[in-house]
Amino acid sequence: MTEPLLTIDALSIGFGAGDEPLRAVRHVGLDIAPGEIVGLVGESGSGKSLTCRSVMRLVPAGGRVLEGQVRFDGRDVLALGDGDLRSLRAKEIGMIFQDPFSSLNPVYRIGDQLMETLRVNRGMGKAQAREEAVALLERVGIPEPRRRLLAYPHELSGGMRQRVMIALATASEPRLLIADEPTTALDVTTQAQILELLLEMRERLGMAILLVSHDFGVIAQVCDRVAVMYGGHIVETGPVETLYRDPQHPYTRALLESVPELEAAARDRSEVPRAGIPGRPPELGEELPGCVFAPRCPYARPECEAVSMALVPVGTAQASACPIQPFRTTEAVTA
Amino acid sequence: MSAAAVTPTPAPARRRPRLGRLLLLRGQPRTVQVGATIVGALVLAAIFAPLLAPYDQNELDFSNLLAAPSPDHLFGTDDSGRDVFSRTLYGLRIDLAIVFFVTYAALPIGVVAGAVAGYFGGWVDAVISRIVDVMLAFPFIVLVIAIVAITGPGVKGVLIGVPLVGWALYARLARSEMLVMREQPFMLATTALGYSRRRAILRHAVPNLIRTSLIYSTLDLVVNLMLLASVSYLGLGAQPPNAELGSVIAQGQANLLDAWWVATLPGLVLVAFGVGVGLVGDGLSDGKLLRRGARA
Repeated sequence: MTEPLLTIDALSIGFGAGDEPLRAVRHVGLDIAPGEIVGLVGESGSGKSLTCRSVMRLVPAGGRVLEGQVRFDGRDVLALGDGDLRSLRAKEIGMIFQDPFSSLNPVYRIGDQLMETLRVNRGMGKAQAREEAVALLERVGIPEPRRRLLAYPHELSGGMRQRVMIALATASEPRLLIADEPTTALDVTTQAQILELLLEMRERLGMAILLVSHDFGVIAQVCDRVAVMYGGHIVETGPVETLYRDPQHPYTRALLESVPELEAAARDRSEVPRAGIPGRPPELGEELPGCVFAPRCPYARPECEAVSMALVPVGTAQASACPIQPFRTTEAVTA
Repeated sequence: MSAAAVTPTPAPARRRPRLGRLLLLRGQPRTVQVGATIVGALVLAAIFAPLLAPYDQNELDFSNLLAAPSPDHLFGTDDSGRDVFSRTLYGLRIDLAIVFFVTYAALPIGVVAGAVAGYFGGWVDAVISRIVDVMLAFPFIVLVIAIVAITGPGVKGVLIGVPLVGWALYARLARSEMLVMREQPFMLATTALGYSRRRAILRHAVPNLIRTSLIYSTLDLVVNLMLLASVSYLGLGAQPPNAELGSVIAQGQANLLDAWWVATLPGLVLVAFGVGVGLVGDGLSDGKLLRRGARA
């Protein structure tokens, strides 16, 4: 295996001061190879956004990294000085956000915002930056880029804005793009276009992408590998196809089953299984003995209280935090 | 126009705000049209006071004391026979100059201080906010009088005292907006793009949060004008014989019963300015004049 571009190692993030902070991310480990697209999936509050924000040291106020490491290209991101950190953000890692309606500054034309990045982060002159801004807009598939330079963000549609945001975040041709729910605020057709664009940008720039989403469909469309988060832990990782076909953790399986299938719904509504997951996810700081999913798990048994949540390899590329591995020994009971 | 902000269809790129149209007030709400007309007329009158004033502000005419308003003396004359209209124009001239200066000197200082406090939080915020509290707790007019005690009578007291304290309210306004804006994705993006904090605050946050302060500044203009008038009413402003609205009113008060115009007409000019600015401020807060603000 090639040297990973990004390594997150045993990362824990907590909120609150003192010896007993509320832990939101617990011992998370994740590798991303150059050019790889890795998905991070989980429900709200599972710690996925926090994990990806920590890669750029953008953990919101009040939160702090309690332990663990983030290494980007051999450098310890969490220990970088101010100048190095800024240069890392400016040149090597780009980030796009969920809400394209507010991730562009409303008072500046998009051309000015693109040119600002090019001038500040790539040291271009004004004329050169203008030409490059046109090229960037062209690259993200915005028609009539020269004219769009003069548009304000509010004059563009959500999908267009997300395209501009992608242009802005990739202006310095970063080696890693962090996309925090980039399509959640968009309608389905626009969503597909944006995902298509992300794939295209990967091809063109060879950059790796960390895609955060709560939508398995989005992950399945673009990712090579996926990590499933629940209650601050990564409960399962693996290549998208195997994980999708043969989930090894009960939570992954429950999550996949809760995706409603259009075809079934079209046939007969009464046939659609109500496959929600009973119970509720653990609250921030709630300390559960053993497996965090045990209270909601249909396969729970007494041993679950002693589970460490460490990932155990299953097969060649997959790993699950469930050592009981109910799907290896028993036939699926739920279906 | 506001429809363009709602429909997400990409509209053709818009030109810069058309200053000409703005000056002509076409398509603005009636309140703004009226307010801006009043303010504009008074500002022009103040600027061109030397051309408009029929008499010198200090020209005495003892044959014509306390004359009632007439075509010769629009606002009548005072107890030294000076033309009240001319004195009002000159008074307005110096008052507006001072008031605009002190208000808009305080505004940028306050906005930047508040933005810095809100952006960094923690002890930076604590220090700035406590200074703001102290400034706001200080009785304004007492502070001005204290400064006058040091600098001697004259407009200096106001010129120094008002910006010294006036920034605090803008700082508080800007800070509270910054606390919200700090969490906006576009501010997060400035960090994610590796911009300096200085760039993030001055170039990205301040243009978005200055709108509230600009609206508030219209109120502040009136408050400061009243303050200036009070200070000169107390004899601590511009020194005689030069006119200032407050001192003109103060002098006229002695003859209020037999020559009401000396105090009342300059007073009405003061009121008109206040009303005009207030109407414009209303229009600003409707968001039609500054329609490119963050909240469309």
